[in-house]
Amino acid sequence: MPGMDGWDTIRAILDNKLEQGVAIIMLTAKNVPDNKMIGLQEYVVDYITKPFDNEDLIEKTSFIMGYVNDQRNPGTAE
Amino acid sequence: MKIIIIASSTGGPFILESVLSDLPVLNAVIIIVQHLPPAFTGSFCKQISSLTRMPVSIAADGEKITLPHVYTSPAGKHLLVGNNRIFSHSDTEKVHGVRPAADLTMMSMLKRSEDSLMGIVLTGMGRDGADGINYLHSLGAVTIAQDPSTAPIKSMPQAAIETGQVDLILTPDQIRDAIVSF
Repeated sequence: MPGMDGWDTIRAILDNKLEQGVAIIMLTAKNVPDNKMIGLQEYVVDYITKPFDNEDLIEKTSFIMGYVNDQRNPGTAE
Repeated sequence: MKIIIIASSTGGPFILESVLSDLPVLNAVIIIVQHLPPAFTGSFCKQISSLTRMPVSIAADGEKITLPHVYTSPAGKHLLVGNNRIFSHSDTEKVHGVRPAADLTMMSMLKRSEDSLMGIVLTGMGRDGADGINYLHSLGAVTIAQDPSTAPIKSMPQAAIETGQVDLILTPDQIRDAIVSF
Protein backbone atom coordinates (compact mmCIF):
# COMPACT_ATOMS: atom_id res chain seq x y z
CA MET A 1 0.00 0.00 0.00
CA PRO A 2 1.78 3.15 -1.14
CA GLY A 3 2.08 5.66 1.67
CA MET A 4 0.44 3.55 4.31
CA ASP A 5 1.51 0.44 6.16
CA GLY A 6 -0.70 -1.94 8.08
CA TRP A 7 -0.42 0.06 11.29
CA ASP A 8 -1.44 3.25 9.51
CA THR A 9 -4.41 1.40 8.10
CA ILE A 10 -5.55 0.13 11.49
CA ARG A 11 -5.11 3.60 13.00
CA ALA A 12 -7.11 5.13 10.15
CA ILE A 13 -9.92 2.61 10.68
CA LEU A 14 -10.05 3.45 14.40
CA ASP A 15 -9.55 7.22 14.00
CA ASN A 16 -12.45 7.33 11.55
CA LYS A 17 -14.57 5.11 13.81
CA LEU A 18 -14.97 2.53 11.07
CA GLU A 19 -14.18 -0.42 13.31
CA GLN A 20 -17.82 -1.40 13.82
CA GLY A 21 -18.26 -4.74 12.08
CA VAL A 22 -14.63 -4.84 10.94
CA ALA A 23 -12.47 -7.80 11.91
CA ILE A 24 -8.75 -7.30 11.39
CA ILE A 25 -6.41 -10.18 10.64
CA MET A 26 -2.76 -9.19 10.38
CA LEU A 27 -0.77 -10.89 7.65
CA THR A 28 2.83 -10.02 8.33
CA ALA A 29 6.42 -11.02 7.74
CA LYS A 30 7.24 -10.45 11.39
CA ASN A 31 7.30 -13.50 13.62
CA VAL A 32 7.32 -11.26 16.66
CA PRO A 33 4.75 -8.49 16.50
CA ASP A 34 5.83 -4.92 16.90
CA ASN A 35 5.20 -3.21 20.22
CA LYS A 36 3.00 -0.89 18.16
CA MET A 37 0.41 -3.59 18.57
CA ILE A 38 0.03 -2.88 22.30
CA GLY A 39 -3.37 -1.30 22.70
CA LEU A 40 -4.54 -2.62 19.34
CA GLN A 41 -4.76 -6.27 20.31
CA GLU A 42 -8.43 -5.76 21.10
CA TYR A 43 -9.01 -5.00 17.42
CA VAL A 44 -6.66 -7.50 15.78
CA VAL A 45 -8.54 -10.78 15.94
CA ASP A 46 -5.83 -12.97 14.46
CA TYR A 47 -2.23 -12.82 13.30
CA ILE A 48 -0.72 -14.84 10.46
CA THR A 49 2.95 -14.77 9.55
CA LYS A 50 4.48 -15.02 6.09
CA PRO A 51 5.15 -17.31 4.38
CA PHE A 52 1.59 -18.32 5.02
CA ASP A 53 -0.28 -21.46 4.21
CA ASN A 54 -3.21 -20.82 1.87
CA GLU A 55 -5.47 -23.23 3.69
CA ASP A 56 -4.62 -21.65 7.04
CA LEU A 57 -5.42 -18.20 5.66
CA ILE A 58 -8.74 -19.37 4.20
CA GLU A 59 -9.67 -21.29 7.33
CA LYS A 60 -9.00 -18.36 9.66
CA THR A 61 -10.61 -15.82 7.36
CA SER A 62 -13.72 -17.97 7.03
CA PHE A 63 -13.81 -18.41 10.78
CA ILE A 64 -13.61 -14.68 11.44
CA MET A 65 -16.13 -13.95 8.68
CA GLY A 66 -18.57 -15.89 10.82
CA TYR A 67 -18.22 -13.15 13.44
CA VAL A 68 -18.70 -10.41 10.85
CA ASN A 69 -21.76 -12.03 9.31
CA ASP A 70 -23.23 -12.74 12.70
CA GLN A 71 -22.73 -9.16 13.80
CA ARG A 72 -24.32 -7.84 10.62
CA ASN A 73 -27.20 -10.32 10.70
CA PRO A 74 -27.84 -11.04 14.39
CA GLY A 75 -30.07 -13.99 15.04
CA THR A 76 -29.50 -15.65 11.68
CA ALA A 77 -26.05 -17.13 12.15
CA GLU A 78 -24.91 -19.78 14.56
CA MET B 1 -16.35 -24.82 43.40
CA LYS B 2 -13.85 -25.33 40.60
CA ILE B 3 -13.15 -22.04 38.85
CA ILE B 4 -11.04 -21.80 35.70
CA ILE B 5 -10.02 -18.41 34.33
CA ILE B 6 -8.68 -18.16 30.78
CA ALA B 7 -6.81 -15.13 29.44
CA SER B 8 -6.97 -14.93 25.64
CA SER B 9 -6.12 -12.29 23.06
CA THR B 10 -5.21 -12.08 19.37
CA GLY B 11 -5.57 -15.52 17.81
CA GLY B 12 -7.48 -16.74 20.85
CA PRO B 13 -10.90 -17.32 19.29
CA PHE B 14 -9.37 -19.81 16.87
CA ILE B 15 -7.22 -21.48 19.56
CA LEU B 16 -10.26 -21.83 21.82
CA GLU B 17 -11.82 -24.02 19.13
CA SER B 18 -9.26 -26.64 20.20
CA VAL B 19 -9.18 -25.84 23.91
CA LEU B 20 -12.94 -26.16 24.32
CA SER B 21 -13.65 -28.61 21.51
CA ASP B 22 -16.54 -30.93 22.42
CA LEU B 23 -16.09 -29.99 26.03
CA PRO B 24 -18.37 -32.15 28.18
CA VAL B 25 -20.48 -30.66 30.94
CA LEU B 26 -18.00 -30.18 33.75
CA ASN B 27 -18.67 -29.56 37.41
CA ALA B 28 -16.84 -26.27 37.03
CA VAL B 29 -17.08 -22.63 36.11
CA ILE B 30 -14.98 -21.38 33.20
CA ILE B 31 -14.44 -17.65 32.82
CA ILE B 32 -12.94 -16.52 29.50
CA VAL B 33 -11.46 -13.04 29.30
CA GLN B 34 -11.05 -12.43 25.57
CA HIS B 35 -9.63 -9.23 24.05
CA LEU B 36 -11.97 -8.54 21.15
CA PRO B 37 -13.68 -5.66 19.35
CA PRO B 38 -16.76 -4.88 21.44
CA ALA B 39 -19.05 -5.50 18.45
CA PHE B 40 -17.99 -9.15 18.35
CA THR B 41 -18.58 -9.94 22.01
CA GLY B 42 -21.93 -11.58 21.28
CA SER B 43 -20.59 -13.53 18.32
CA PHE B 44 -17.71 -14.79 20.43
CA CYS B 45 -20.12 -15.98 23.11
CA LYS B 46 -22.16 -17.74 20.43
CA GLN B 47 -19.01 -19.39 19.08
CA ILE B 48 -18.10 -20.71 22.53
CA SER B 49 -21.67 -21.98 22.95
CA SER B 50 -21.22 -24.10 19.84
CA LEU B 51 -18.24 -25.89 21.38
CA THR B 52 -19.78 -27.26 24.57
CA ARG B 53 -23.03 -28.42 26.08
CA MET B 54 -22.28 -26.32 29.14
CA PRO B 55 -24.41 -23.17 29.48
CA VAL B 56 -22.55 -20.18 28.05
CA SER B 57 -23.30 -16.48 28.53
CA ILE B 58 -21.66 -13.10 28.82
CA ALA B 59 -21.03 -12.39 32.51
CA ALA B 60 -23.52 -9.73 33.58
CA ASP B 61 -22.87 -7.01 36.12
CA GLY B 62 -24.15 -8.22 39.51
CA GLU B 63 -24.74 -11.79 38.28
CA LYS B 64 -24.21 -14.62 40.74
CA ILE B 65 -22.04 -17.45 39.42
CA THR B 66 -23.89 -20.68 38.79
CA LEU B 67 -22.46 -24.14 38.24
CA PRO B 68 -21.77 -25.48 35.65
CA HIS B 69 -21.30 -22.54 33.33
CA VAL B 70 -18.95 -20.88 30.88
CA TYR B 71 -18.87 -17.09 31.16
CA THR B 72 -17.34 -14.77 28.60
CA SER B 73 -16.15 -11.26 29.34
CA PRO B 74 -18.31 -8.20 28.62
CA ALA B 75 -17.58 -5.71 25.86
CA GLY B 76 -15.09 -3.04 26.80
CA LYS B 77 -15.33 -3.51 30.57
CA HIS B 78 -13.16 -5.20 33.14
CA LEU B 79 -14.72 -8.25 34.75
CA LEU B 80 -14.26 -8.75 38.48
CA VAL B 81 -15.45 -11.58 40.71
CA GLY B 82 -16.49 -10.61 44.24
CA ASN B 83 -15.96 -13.25 46.91
CA ASN B 84 -15.40 -15.73 44.04
CA ARG B 85 -19.16 -15.71 43.43
CA ILE B 86 -20.53 -12.39 42.10
CA PHE B 87 -19.54 -10.71 38.84
CA SER B 88 -19.11 -6.99 38.56
CA HIS B 89 -18.10 -4.79 35.65
CA SER B 90 -15.60 -1.96 35.89
CA ASP B 91 -14.87 0.99 33.62
CA THR B 92 -11.48 1.74 35.15
CA GLU B 93 -8.47 2.44 32.95
CA LYS B 94 -7.15 -0.13 30.52
CA VAL B 95 -4.45 -2.39 31.97
CA HIS B 96 -1.53 -3.18 29.66
CA GLY B 97 -3.56 -1.57 26.88
CA VAL B 98 -6.65 -3.76 27.21
CA ARG B 99 -10.09 -3.73 28.76
CA PRO B 100 -11.22 -6.29 29.77
CA ALA B 101 -7.89 -7.30 31.33
CA ALA B 102 -7.57 -10.87 32.55
CA ASP B 103 -5.10 -9.67 35.19
CA LEU B 104 -7.90 -7.85 37.00
CA THR B 105 -10.27 -10.81 36.82
CA MET B 106 -7.63 -13.20 38.14
CA MET B 107 -6.49 -10.80 40.85
CA SER B 108 -10.05 -10.35 42.09
CA MET B 109 -10.12 -13.98 43.18
CA LEU B 110 -9.76 -14.98 46.83
CA LYS B 111 -8.33 -18.05 48.51
CA ARG B 112 -11.31 -20.02 49.76
CA SER B 113 -10.99 -23.54 51.13
CA GLU B 114 -14.08 -24.67 49.23
CA ASP B 115 -12.72 -23.45 45.88
CA SER B 116 -10.14 -24.91 43.50
CA LEU B 117 -8.67 -22.47 41.02
CA MET B 118 -6.98 -22.81 37.64
CA GLY B 119 -5.48 -19.99 35.57
CA ILE B 120 -4.65 -20.31 31.88
CA VAL B 121 -2.90 -17.86 29.55
CA LEU B 122 -3.33 -18.33 25.80
CA THR B 123 -1.98 -16.52 22.75
CA GLY B 124 -1.70 -12.76 22.64
CA MET B 125 0.38 -9.64 22.43
CA GLY B 126 1.57 -7.93 25.57
CA ARG B 127 1.56 -9.35 29.06
CA ASP B 128 -2.05 -9.54 30.20
CA GLY B 129 -2.50 -12.57 32.43
CA ALA B 130 1.08 -12.72 33.70
CA ASP B 131 0.46 -10.81 36.92
CA GLY B 132 -2.81 -12.68 37.33
CA ILE B 133 -1.10 -16.04 36.96
CA ASN B 134 1.53 -15.00 39.49
CA TYR B 135 -1.23 -14.06 41.93
CA LEU B 136 -3.34 -17.16 41.32
CA HIS B 137 -0.31 -19.38 41.88
CA SER B 138 0.18 -17.70 45.27
CA LEU B 139 -3.38 -18.81 46.10
CA GLY B 140 -2.53 -22.40 45.24
CA ALA B 141 -4.10 -22.41 41.79
CA VAL B 142 -2.97 -24.69 38.99
CA THR B 143 -1.38 -22.38 36.42
CA ILE B 144 -1.01 -23.12 32.73
CA ALA B 145 0.49 -21.27 29.78
CA GLN B 146 -0.08 -22.19 26.15
CA ASP B 147 3.10 -23.58 24.64
CA PRO B 148 4.41 -20.45 22.88
CA SER B 149 5.40 -22.51 19.83
CA THR B 150 1.68 -23.17 19.25
CA ALA B 151 0.58 -19.56 19.77
CA PRO B 152 -0.01 -17.15 16.85
CA ILE B 153 1.47 -14.50 19.17
CA LYS B 154 3.78 -15.73 21.88
CA SER B 155 4.08 -12.64 24.11
CA MET B 156 1.31 -13.34 26.61
CA PRO B 157 2.12 -16.99 27.36
CA GLN B 158 5.82 -16.14 27.33
CA ALA B 159 5.29 -13.35 29.88
CA ALA B 160 3.33 -15.75 32.08
CA ILE B 161 6.10 -18.35 31.86
CA GLU B 162 8.71 -15.75 32.75
CA THR B 163 7.01 -15.15 36.10
CA GLY B 164 8.28 -18.59 37.11
CA GLN B 165 4.83 -19.36 38.47
CA VAL B 166 3.45 -21.48 35.62
CA ASP B 167 2.96 -25.13 36.52
CA LEU B 168 2.34 -26.48 33.05
CA ILE B 169 3.22 -25.40 29.49
CA LEU B 170 0.79 -27.17 27.20
CA THR B 171 -0.52 -27.35 23.66
CA PRO B 172 -4.18 -26.37 23.11
CA ASP B 173 -5.25 -30.04 23.04
CA GLN B 174 -3.34 -30.70 26.26
CA ILE B 175 -4.96 -27.67 27.88
CA ARG B 176 -8.34 -29.15 27.01
CA ASP B 177 -7.34 -32.39 28.72
CA ALA B 178 -6.14 -30.47 31.78
CA ILE B 179 -9.47 -28.65 32.03
CA VAL B 180 -11.46 -31.87 31.70
CA SER B 181 -9.40 -33.63 34.38
CA PHE B 182 -9.27 -30.62 36.75
